Amino acid sequence: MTAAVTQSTCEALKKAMDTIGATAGAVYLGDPERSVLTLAAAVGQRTANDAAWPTEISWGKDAAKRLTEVKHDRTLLTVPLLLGEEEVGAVIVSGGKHVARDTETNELSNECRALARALAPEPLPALQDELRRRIPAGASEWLKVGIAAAARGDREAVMTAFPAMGRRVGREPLGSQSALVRRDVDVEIPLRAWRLDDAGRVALLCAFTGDAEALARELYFTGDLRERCGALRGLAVLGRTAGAIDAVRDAIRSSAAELFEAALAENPYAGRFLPDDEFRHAVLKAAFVGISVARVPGVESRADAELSRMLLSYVTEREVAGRSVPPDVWPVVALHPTAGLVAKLCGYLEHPATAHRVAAAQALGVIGDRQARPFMNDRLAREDDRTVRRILERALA
Amino acid sequence: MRIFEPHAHMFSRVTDDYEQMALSGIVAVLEPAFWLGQPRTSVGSFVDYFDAIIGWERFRAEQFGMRHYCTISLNPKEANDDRFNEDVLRLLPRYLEKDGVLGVGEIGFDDITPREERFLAAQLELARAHDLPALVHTPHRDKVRGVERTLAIMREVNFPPERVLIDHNTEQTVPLVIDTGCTMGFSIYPDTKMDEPRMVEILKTWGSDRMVINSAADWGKSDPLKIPKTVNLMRQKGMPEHEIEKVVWHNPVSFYAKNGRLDLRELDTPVTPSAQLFQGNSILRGPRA
Repeated sequence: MTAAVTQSTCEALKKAMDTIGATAGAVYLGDPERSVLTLAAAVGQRTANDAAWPTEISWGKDAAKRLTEVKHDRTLLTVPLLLGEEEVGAVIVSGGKHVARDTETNELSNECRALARALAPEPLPALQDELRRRIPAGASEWLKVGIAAAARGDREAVMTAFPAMGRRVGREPLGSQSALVRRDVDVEIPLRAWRLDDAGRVALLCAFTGDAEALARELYFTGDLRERCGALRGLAVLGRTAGAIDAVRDAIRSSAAELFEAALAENPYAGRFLPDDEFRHAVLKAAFVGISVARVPGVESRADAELSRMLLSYVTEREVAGRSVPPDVWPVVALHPTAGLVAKLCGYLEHPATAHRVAAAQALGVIGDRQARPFMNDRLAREDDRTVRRILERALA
Repeated sequence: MRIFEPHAHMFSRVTDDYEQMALSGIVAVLEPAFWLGQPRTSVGSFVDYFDAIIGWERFRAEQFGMRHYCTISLNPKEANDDRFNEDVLRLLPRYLEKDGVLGVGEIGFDDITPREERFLAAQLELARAHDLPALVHTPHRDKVRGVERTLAIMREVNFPPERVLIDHNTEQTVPLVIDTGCTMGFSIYPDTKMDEPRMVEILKTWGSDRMVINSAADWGKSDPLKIPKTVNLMRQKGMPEHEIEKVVWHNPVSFYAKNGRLDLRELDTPVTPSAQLFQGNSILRGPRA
């Protein structure tokens, strides 16, 4: 991560420290080429004997070995700076007046996510960087020319490069765990489902100096399946009005899973501009076509009793037909529980599949119904899976 | 033996045909844009048709593990219709850049009219601009004259013959085309055009260089299994395997791979049929998980 560390970084760091009453803290940013974390900002002294924060600390060479959750030490708490699922740095805080509780470390993690978003590069350079590391030099050069043309407002150049993108930069999964950040609405757009051509197409749209939203809409309606996916992902990054929502509607009406996924999963545009009734139907259809409802941005804030009713009705239909039920509907349904839901979830606590027990335990934690406690305690006593155990313990605490 | 079917109008065939073709060794099919039997009345019909052959037909083919490609054009017959011919020409550049579009076609002559000439020349220019080969249809009536005019126009606009496939050849047209450098297509039909025994004779007489065969299956009386059926006869008549493979695989593949638009790596990768629906529609009946 190369963003300049500013005054606001220090302020964001203080805000993070306040969540656990820490007296000192430092922000470290990762340098993937050298496998070190470099000190970017610090507030207060690290320890009582005035030891300074080290300017560099070693960092896992292998991204898989890096930190993904809060690590407790006797005096220090290390929190990963996460962008999407990628660790881009770390925040280390010390001097907390007590051992931090789960709720506090959750809050601290959330503040650190906000800090990571604030430090993230703009979408266009972020995409260029993601692509540069993965595509041949010739393809990079070709894309650079297209981006320059888009930056001059050359609409025709974008219209011609858009269909050719797959041939030029490839169609394989991008393979990024990171996320783009939209500053105006402060949301992350995870890249995990993107392909190389998606990234190239969205880069062109981001570079375009004219009305990029209208252009994305036009490219959607004149595009083939892959172009349409690229246009929808473009709207996720740069859609600012409801002007292109008919493209999202069209994609949601289709059942081509790839297209539907691009319109809804990790796409905040749909969640922002679809009216309530259409949004509910889109979430229901996500469950129906096998896309996790947890991937729909805004599903938690927009969930309501009607959505719970619709999802449960779908679950019942599946159960009647003897088919499997998507477990990730439970935490969403739990936000507005309906009659009989707690009993159903207690039943799913005994499901042989871990994913069902995880989701049921999460949902029961959200609902907080005392009548479920005996069943949760009963399961906890026999539960082998660490994740389920942890969720149950938290829910019972 | 793998078969590349370089000319079949799958838009007008049933899904069972895809299955039979796949079972007969056809691993890739190219669908040239043509007319629909019933004349179109507006440019919108072309948009929907082009979208179908770059989308829906590809999806249908993939359900049976087949690659589907297409060529895009204003067909010769409807080049005569002033209600939309100019509009379709303006539409083409957008489609010619799309994935899976391997050429401009079918273009050429139907009644050999001045309009047909104009749109043939204009579309050869488009092929040049988009670095694509051209698939040229030859007329059912006055075929020899049609082939002569086609070759003359190619020379007039200076279009490279190695980038042209002249289709629906017969014993009469082979001598006209054989030395031009163009690839020669033969449509094996149940009754008209060309049949299996005549085809084997032509290959014996003229050799297999730049020769390709197809079923040209469409909405008329035709048979999408004509290539595998011709392969059977070639074997019975003692043609060596490598010669057969050249005609039904290497020749069409190398013709369409010249500009790099046909991705050979992709062609060698087995298609995994996705369980997904297309625009809310599934062609595979029966229970889904």
